[in-house]
Amino acid sequence: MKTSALKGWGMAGAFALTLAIGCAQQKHETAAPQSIAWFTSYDAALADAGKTGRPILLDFYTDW
Amino acid sequence: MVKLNAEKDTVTAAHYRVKSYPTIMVLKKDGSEIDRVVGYYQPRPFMDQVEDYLAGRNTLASYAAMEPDSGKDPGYMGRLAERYFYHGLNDEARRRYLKLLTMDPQNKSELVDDALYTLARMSRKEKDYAQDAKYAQMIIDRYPHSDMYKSAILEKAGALRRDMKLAQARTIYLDYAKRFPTDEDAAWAKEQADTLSVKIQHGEGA
Repeated sequence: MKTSALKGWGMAGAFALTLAIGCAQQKHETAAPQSIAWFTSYDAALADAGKTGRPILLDFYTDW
Repeated sequence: MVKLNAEKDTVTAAHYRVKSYPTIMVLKKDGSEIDRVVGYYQPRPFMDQVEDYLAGRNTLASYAAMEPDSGKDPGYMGRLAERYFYHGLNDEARRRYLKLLTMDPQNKSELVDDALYTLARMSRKEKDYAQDAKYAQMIIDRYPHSDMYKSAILEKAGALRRDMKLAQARTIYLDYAKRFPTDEDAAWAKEQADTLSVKIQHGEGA
C-alpha cells in the first residue's frame, strides 16, 4: 500500500515538474516522463534550482 | 526534485520543521517554502495542491487570511489548525484547536477528536505528559465512538508511563489487551504491561 502510494506520488511529482517548467498552455499535451532523476542531496538540488530557476519539490520520506 | 530520508537528513527536516511523513514541500528556487503537502494523496488531488501552490493559491498564508470571515466555521478552524500543525507552528495550531474545542463540543465537524489527539501529541513532544494524558482522557470521556478512541487509550497509557506512573500505565495496557483481544495492538499492549511489571518489581516508578 505504502509502496504503490509512493509510486503514485513519484508520477505526480514528475508531472509537477513538467508543469512547473513547461508553458502553461501546453501542459495538457506534455507527456509525463517515464522516470525521475531525483536529487538525494538538498544542497545539490538547491544549486541546480538556482541555475535553472525552477522551483523545488522536496520529498521527506522515511523507511518505516 | 529532491528525495531526502527525514530520519537521516535531520538538519534539513528540522530546518523546515517537518513533523510527519511523508511531507512534500514546494519550494521557490532559493529554497524558501511556498507550502507543503502532508500525508498520502492520490495523484490528482496531490497535483491539484502542487499546482495551486505553484500558482500562489491556497497557501497557508492565504488560508489564514480568511480567518476573520470564516473563523466561526468549525470545519475551517480545524483545517487551519491542522495546517499550522503540519508547518510545525505548534503555538498557532494549539490556539486554533482549542478554539475548535469550544466552538464544537458536540463534534458535529467530526474534527474535535482528531484535534484532541493532536493536542495530546503536541503535549507529548513538549514532554508535558500530564497534559498529554488529559487530552487523551477527554477523547475517552467525550467521544467513545470516535475512531481515535483506542488510540487515545494507548496515548494515555504512554503518557502515564513517561510520567513514571508505571502501575497506572500497566493497568491500562492490561485492560486494553483484555477488552480488545483481536485488536492489532493487543499483543503489543500485553508486552508493555509485562515490561512494566518487571520495572515495577525492580522498584521503578510509582
